[in-house]
Amino acid sequence: MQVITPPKVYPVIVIGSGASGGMAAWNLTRQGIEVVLLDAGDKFDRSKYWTHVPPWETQARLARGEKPETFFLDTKEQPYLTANDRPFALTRVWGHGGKTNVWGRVSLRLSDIDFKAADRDGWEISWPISYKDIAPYYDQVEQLIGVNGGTDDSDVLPGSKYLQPPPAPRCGERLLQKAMGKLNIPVVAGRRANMTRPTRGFPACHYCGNCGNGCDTASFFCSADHLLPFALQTGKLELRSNAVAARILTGENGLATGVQYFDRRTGTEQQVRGKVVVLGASCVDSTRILLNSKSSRHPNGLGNGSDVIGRYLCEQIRLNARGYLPALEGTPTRNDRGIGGEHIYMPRFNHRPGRGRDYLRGFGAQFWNTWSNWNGPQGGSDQIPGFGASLKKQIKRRHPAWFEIHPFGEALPYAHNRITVDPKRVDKYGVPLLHIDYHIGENERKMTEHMADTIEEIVKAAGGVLVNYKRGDLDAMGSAIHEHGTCRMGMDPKRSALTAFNQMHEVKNVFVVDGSAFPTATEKNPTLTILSLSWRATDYLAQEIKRGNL
Amino acid sequence: MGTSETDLSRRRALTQLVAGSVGVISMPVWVDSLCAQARAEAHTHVVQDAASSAAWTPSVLTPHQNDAIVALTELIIPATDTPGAKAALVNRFVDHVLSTADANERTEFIRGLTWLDDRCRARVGKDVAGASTAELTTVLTPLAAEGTPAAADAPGVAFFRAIKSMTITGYYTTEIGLRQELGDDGRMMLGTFEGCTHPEHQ
Repeated sequence: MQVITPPKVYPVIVIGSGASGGMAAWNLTRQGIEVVLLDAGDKFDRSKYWTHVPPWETQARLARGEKPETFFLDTKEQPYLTANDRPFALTRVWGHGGKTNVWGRVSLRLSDIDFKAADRDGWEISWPISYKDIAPYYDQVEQLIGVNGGTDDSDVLPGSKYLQPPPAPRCGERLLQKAMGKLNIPVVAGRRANMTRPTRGFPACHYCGNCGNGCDTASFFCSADHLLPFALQTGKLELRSNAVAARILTGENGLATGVQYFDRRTGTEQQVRGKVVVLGASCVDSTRILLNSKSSRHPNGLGNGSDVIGRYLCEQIRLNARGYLPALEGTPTRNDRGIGGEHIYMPRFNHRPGRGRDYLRGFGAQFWNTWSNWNGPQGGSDQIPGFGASLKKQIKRRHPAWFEIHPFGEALPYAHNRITVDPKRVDKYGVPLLHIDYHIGENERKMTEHMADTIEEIVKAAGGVLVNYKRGDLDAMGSAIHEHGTCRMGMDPKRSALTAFNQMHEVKNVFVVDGSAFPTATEKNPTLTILSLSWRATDYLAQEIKRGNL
Repeated sequence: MGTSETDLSRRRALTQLVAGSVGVISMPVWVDSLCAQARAEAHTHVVQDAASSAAWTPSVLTPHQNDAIVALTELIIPATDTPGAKAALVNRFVDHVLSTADANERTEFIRGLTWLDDRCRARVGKDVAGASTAELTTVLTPLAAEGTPAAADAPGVAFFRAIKSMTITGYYTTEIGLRQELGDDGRMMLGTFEGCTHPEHQ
């Protein structure tokens, strides 16, 4: 007689190993809970990163046939759809650590100005949590990942007690900072997850400024370096690579029973069974998985009786202004690589008395003065007129003087900005493709005007000159890579998909812990909050498992 | 309203750059797109130079076109007290960028180069590769001028803008351009970051 072994049922299946999923796997396994973690890709090889390689040294490496690691998912492998006249530049990283391999590392706490925004202005729903609920988790996360910053707390940016020392501003940032002081516009040290002190056995940042190529010394937080190895050490984690999650499977009672996924190398369909599913595949991909998880109990996608899943997509708007400061022209060239981004930050100020305008929510801005690269401020060198020796001389004079200003603004959640799945268009596994329909409205256009006014005012006060500047010319939609809102938390199950602990209102054994859970985009970079929310949600989940509720 | 599949396989990083790289004068889309492609390729152009030997041959340009590009890049960033674009092999970078560009951009670029060769022959009786620096300067000065170009000059203005931007990107990412000319110290591992220490900036 043939003995049929029933498939193993894991206590928890986690989908995605980036900030949200990596945190979930780490926090659950360290509490003794067995986890199987599905990631759509493989491990990136840090020995292949070209972090500390200046452009001219790439020559020898390429001659040896080496290539740098490439992180980004190719649209040829995994397409997505948009409305014809509404492009959306989606960035996806499938591989251990996800986008934390190359993230911008800006780590700004939300405050009750953010959590309670809708209570004040009435637009859509507020977060079901307050700052005090998440503050202890911000404390823990900052200590875990190593965030640098100043002690310049405010109502916008609270809680600096665990920050490591910030890098000094560069010359141009000093001049812009002074100008902002004159204008009474707030400016603080940037807050960024580059470790300026050795942290948990990882070496401190080396100020090569090349973070966008991945960090070969793991001196900024990446889930693959800072969470997954520790989770594996517990012996409680099974990590399945190249497992492209397609659907969450449900039983007759509507609860999740497992996950269907496809092997990225062979294309074969696989299933894994579990008592609880934690979804952390990134805002857009988690939403796709939920909408594709249709069943008789969930005809509109998993846990989507409220029809909010996929809606309220909010991705921040961003302006890029570049220019130079004549005061720095002709000064000696410095090594301004720094921590690979801004060293000063302008927190939101439009909530201050007399500073408001006729729009809701707000914006902050990053200020860079750095060697950067040819995608950055120096790209303006080709705007210097003429050619020949005079051009060459002028490029050299201006080299130390370039700066960039990047305001990020909150886009309101609108029901019509949504992710859907198209049953007629499928990927190579036969899974319906996602379709993004996103555009901004009048509120965002008014905010853009305020951003532009602010930039122009600061640059004028600093004696700077903007180059290639087109007022109000926003970055392509999607460029902030801060997608939110499509599976939002909230108190009211009719208007939200998740509870205050990221648990689905309609499917008690599914948790969604990535940026899709944010009811609002805010103007701040989200990863610090994603890590904190995921930690908090999985603390709750661990308690529920131990209480026998899940 | 129809739907379209987004192809970001090569353009992922470029979409936003193109939006931000529009000049004062409105340029054909291919110019900004090709210049953005050059910036995206700036750190890989040594693929071609890896051979760094006389054995290098262009993959897109004909030998005649390559000679013209050598002349133009050196005209834009000449040798002064530091070597210029020719010594930095910027022509190889241009060829490499063209090899990674869209077919349409490649065609437009070559069309522009051909136009300039014709203009050069008409004005100074020699093609670009054969003209002296003074002769090339005469031909290119009106094309490099600011302001709205004469309609008859438009193809040359667009082409010059593209080759100028590509030359600058290529040159200043080589060791010659970045270290020798701009004086970058090339250090990629610092123990501390000093930042601005100038009293006048505090």
